[in-house]
Amino acid sequence: MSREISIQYYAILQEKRGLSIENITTEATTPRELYRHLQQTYDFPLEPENMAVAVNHALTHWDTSLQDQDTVVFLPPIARG
Amino acid sequence: MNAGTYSHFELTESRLDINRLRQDLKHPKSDTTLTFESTVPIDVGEHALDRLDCEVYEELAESAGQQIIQEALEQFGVSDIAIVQRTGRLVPGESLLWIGINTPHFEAGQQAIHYVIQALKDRLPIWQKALFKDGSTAWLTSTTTTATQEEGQPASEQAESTQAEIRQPEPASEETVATIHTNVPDDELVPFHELEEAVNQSQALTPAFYFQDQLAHQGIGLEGQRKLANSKVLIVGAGSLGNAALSYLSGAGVGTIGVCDASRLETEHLHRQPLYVTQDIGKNKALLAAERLQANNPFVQIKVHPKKLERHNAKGLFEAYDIILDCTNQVMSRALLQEAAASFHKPLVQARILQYEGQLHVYQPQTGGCLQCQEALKPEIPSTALTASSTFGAVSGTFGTLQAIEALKLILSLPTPLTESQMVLDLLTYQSRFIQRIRNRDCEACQPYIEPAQVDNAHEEIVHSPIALTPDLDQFEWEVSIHAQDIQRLSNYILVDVSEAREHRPFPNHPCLNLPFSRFNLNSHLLDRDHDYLLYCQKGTRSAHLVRELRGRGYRNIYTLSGGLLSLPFLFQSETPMATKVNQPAEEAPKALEYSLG
Repeated sequence: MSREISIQYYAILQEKRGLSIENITTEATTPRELYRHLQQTYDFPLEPENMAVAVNHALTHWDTSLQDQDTVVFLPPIARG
Repeated sequence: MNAGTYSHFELTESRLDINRLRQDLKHPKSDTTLTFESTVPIDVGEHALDRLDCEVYEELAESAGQQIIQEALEQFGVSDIAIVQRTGRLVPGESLLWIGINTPHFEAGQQAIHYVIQALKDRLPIWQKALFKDGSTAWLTSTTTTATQEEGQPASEQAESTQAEIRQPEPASEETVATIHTNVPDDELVPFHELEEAVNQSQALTPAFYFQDQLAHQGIGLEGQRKLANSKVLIVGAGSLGNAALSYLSGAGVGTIGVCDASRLETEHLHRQPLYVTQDIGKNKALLAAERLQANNPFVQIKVHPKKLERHNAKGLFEAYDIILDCTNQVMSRALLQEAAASFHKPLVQARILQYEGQLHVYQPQTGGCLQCQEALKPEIPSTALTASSTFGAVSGTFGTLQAIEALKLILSLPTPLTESQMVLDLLTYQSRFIQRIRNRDCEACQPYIEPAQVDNAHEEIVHSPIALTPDLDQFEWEVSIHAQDIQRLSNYILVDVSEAREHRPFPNHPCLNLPFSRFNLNSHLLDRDHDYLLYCQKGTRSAHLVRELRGRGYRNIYTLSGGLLSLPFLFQSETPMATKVNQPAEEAPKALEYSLG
């Protein structure tokens, strides 16, 4: 069953993807699955272990269930001087 | 926002007007205002900076910022906190972050600023990319020195080691889901995957939150917590040592904890046994301890054994647990527990205390040495060692806590449990020494049980053995019960009251000696090996102890009054010795031979 997911990218993910936000249709059921799929396509250098993920603007775990119309944001490690 | 309308968190792409921010924060109350400002530097490392691009995940940043302000207000008692974070494109010299705090107390304000700075570093989802004048770029890290990067290449290796990560819940590994035991039926066990719940779930009472700080610890983590949940520890003795050991082992999450104690709480226990309260006096300590522990931690299972550990029940108890703690601080139970540990192959964590000094050892059967293995056999045991002999609860509590630590070392395979040596620690000087406890195969104290059927000459064995070896003593052989109809039996014995002088009650019409328990060893030479003695005290506990000891030393004709004086109500129905002294005329007062050598 496919879902429409809105994704936001930051930092290095944004650079690799070339976009800061996009809407996609996906079969992925969890953020982890979704990320794996994107990682392969766009060559993201970060692993879920080093990142956080937010669904609908709340931090959650990588294996939570995705629903149709969810917003997923992958958070690379905070980069500040 | 509480505490005034001046607290706020703001993200802005406009240049910060520091003066205005400071002015806006000041308010009529004469508070101290502390401010912090960070500025974009002109270079990072050796590289001249052209500009800084700051991205922020706004939705999460807003909530994180508000939360940080709320936490700092609550924790430090400051009046107002304002945080303004720049985003977008910045050039060297521009203000990047401004924090202002109004506080009635300078120190609190300082602490609050530190807290806020660190919290923002940890939790604010912001990414700063430096663009250098030579065209290279880098994602900034908290070390602020970054190697020159290829365009678009992130400092990902540095990111792992130096960058602060946004806190997120630990994912549970898929293969191994552990369960924490609760005191609910098996089919309702709370599963471990509650750890996966979202961080912003409210602080529910779940194993994930209860053990949060242990789980976050690298040395423990999920794996360690699972080991704890699956372990079973028996604590023998719910006294001063036991109180400490029980509290910390249950808090750590040992899945099954057994408490073995037949005794009842008495007033004089309260000062060193902090689990109990005054309303508990008179109740069984194992039951009380279990109630207290369960109230602190509902995620472990506490089993109550309100009985005395004896030879006939040791097997059942020992086999049900993995590790045994001797928290009795009593010579006789020490010997029995050691034998049982040897017989049923369970590690035994032993502690004993005397005044300000204590000893700690883990007896590991078959591989390790027991406390007697290397020592010459000692027939003399000071009577004062038979009862609790620490000065303060702080002393016994310390060693009970150390016993818990040794148990945790065994469960989690942490380094250097005290299996090869015994530690002696003086709490006055903190000097410690370690006595090696290497196994002696011929040691008799840690041999498994000698079954009674195997030994033919029980009494001969006893005469030559040290106190620790009492394989064939049957308490029932030397307990004497006196009933109203055979009160004359008392005349067959020399009566010895081992109560303390202030408790001493002479038998009416039967002469007796008073040799108080606390000084018994000094006076035991007064007992003749050829006569029949009947020792008694108020309840029969102390006299039983002494008779066991004396039997071990070769006194054959020595007995204890079962149940003590309290078992003989008929003696005092019409006339109590005390009433006798007060009411009866002098010539009818009992002629008690009182050698009160106390």
